[in-house]
Amino acid sequence: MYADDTADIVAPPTFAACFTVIRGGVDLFDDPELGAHRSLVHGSQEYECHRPLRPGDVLVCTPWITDLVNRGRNDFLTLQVDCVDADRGEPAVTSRGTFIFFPDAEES
Amino acid sequence: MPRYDDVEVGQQLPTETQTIDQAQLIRYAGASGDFNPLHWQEEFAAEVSPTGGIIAHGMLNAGLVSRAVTAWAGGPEKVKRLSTTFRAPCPVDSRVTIGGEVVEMDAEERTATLAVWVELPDGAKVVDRRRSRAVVQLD
Repeated sequence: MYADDTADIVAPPTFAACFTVIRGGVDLFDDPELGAHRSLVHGSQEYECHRPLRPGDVLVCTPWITDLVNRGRNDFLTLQVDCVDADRGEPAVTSRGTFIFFPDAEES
Repeated sequence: MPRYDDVEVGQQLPTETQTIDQAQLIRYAGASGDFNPLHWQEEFAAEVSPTGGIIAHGMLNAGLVSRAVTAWAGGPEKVKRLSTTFRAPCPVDSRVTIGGEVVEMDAEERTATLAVWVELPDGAKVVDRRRSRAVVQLD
């Protein structure tokens, strides 16, 4: 994807990972009370594409922790990121990801 | 791109096979911004990886599925929904097979739902076909 010829370019469906998994996910580590750590893997990821994403789009992305459960020694966290048009507030893409946190090596 | 009337349940995407090497993981890290050392640093991976070694990004495998579905659909704007469940870890230098099969048609919405997958040569489900789906808008 090149920036100098953008008229007809549409982002691939998983392009949204750049601003829903990484940016949305990094916020998790900013909350010391949550206790998120780096011993984790990505369990699942869903994108609901309400409209094509194009260069120049400005989106407001709001991450939500929609579920957090403990199974055995691991914690399963579900993060939803609602991405809407900055102008009109209409939905562009909705991201739902599950992250599996293993026991933190530094705690155990 | 496929027309609704030409698609039926059981139709398969062309199967693709490729090797995911370390260079590809580094390129994906750069493209996605996911610099978790689990995907490039052996010492870190030895401590936290489910395999004890470097594994591919889940979203890289989702991207391989996305590319196959997009090619079949005739463009990224045709993909309405993509859900991928990452089950088996994908060690660096794995040979992976990417595939998909139409499992449901919706005449009202004119969409096809595909089961999609990425598998290792031993059948391990990197992207689990039972729980991974793509919904494609057809003409």
